[in-house]
Amino acid sequence: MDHQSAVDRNLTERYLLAELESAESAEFEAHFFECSICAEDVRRAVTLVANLKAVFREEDDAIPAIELGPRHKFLDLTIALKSEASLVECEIHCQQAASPIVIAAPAAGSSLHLHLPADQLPAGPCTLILRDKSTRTELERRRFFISRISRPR
Amino acid sequence: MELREFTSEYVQRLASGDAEIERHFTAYFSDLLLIKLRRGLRSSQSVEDVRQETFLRVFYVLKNGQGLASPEKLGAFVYGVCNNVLSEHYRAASRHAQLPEGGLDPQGSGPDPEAEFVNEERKRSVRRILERLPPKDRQILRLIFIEDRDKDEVCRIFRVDRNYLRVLLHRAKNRFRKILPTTRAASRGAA
Repeated sequence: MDHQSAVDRNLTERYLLAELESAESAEFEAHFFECSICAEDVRRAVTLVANLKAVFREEDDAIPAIELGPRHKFLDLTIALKSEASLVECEIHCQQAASPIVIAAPAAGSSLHLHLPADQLPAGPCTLILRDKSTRTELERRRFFISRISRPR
Repeated sequence: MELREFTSEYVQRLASGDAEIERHFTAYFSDLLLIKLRRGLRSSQSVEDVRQETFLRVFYVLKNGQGLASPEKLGAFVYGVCNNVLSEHYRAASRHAQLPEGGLDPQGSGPDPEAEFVNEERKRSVRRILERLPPKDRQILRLIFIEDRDKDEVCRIFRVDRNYLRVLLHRAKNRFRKILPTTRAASRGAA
């Protein structure tokens, strides 16, 4: 295997994503033990992924958890806004859902009240992005963790 | 990590116990051995055992006059020795224990070997990269690397193809390189 072939075939990314067959993976390992450029590329990619995991885990440890039971039809959230806007567009990205929930809500003074359908909030981390509806400028983003419980506590 | 060519002089200095070259050699190959071994071994202790045994054997061969015919093949030599040690490790594990469910090397309770790659400066760089990513891309990375979800399933959820995952990782890696030009092994005091 030569260096250019490893680059052309995106072998660093495919190795990290565990997409290579066993023989191809061994061939690439043999190559990056000899090729200092590919060695640095693999080292950088592994370093990125290791730190990515560490950052994600820290985020998960730090975010507030919201418990939803089987009787919850809606989740009511009141958010203290850090900046002013009359109409706020809210995008809620849940880990298990491909499309975000998008709703517009009027701000009441410096706070915002959201009334969200519970059945559209799967368990796991969610990111709430708040934008000024008129300018589409991102105001802030919050993260929270949805925890599904089998019976109310 | 300082790049050095593996020349006759490098191999001779390594064989003669030159401290600076030994530091460079172990720092350079420690990462590569870890990257290779963590794919086949799940216990941190096994990774460390095989890595140390590989270094011991390489040093033994070099210091006992069985030098390399081609110094530029030093990397291939280390890789070959590692494969031999790894095969012996698997054979020994299969002799001494019944094959446990999930493989020959059960998850150990030791520290995560990947922790060697993590430090505060790198985490700050990663946070900067994540801040610029669209939420969808953050979610994809999270599902793949934290949840360990099947990649085809992730592609289905987000209506992307496998090439999208490679490009996402490739771009993140390039941004990481711009923010942090070297992935020096600072914690081990590498050359």
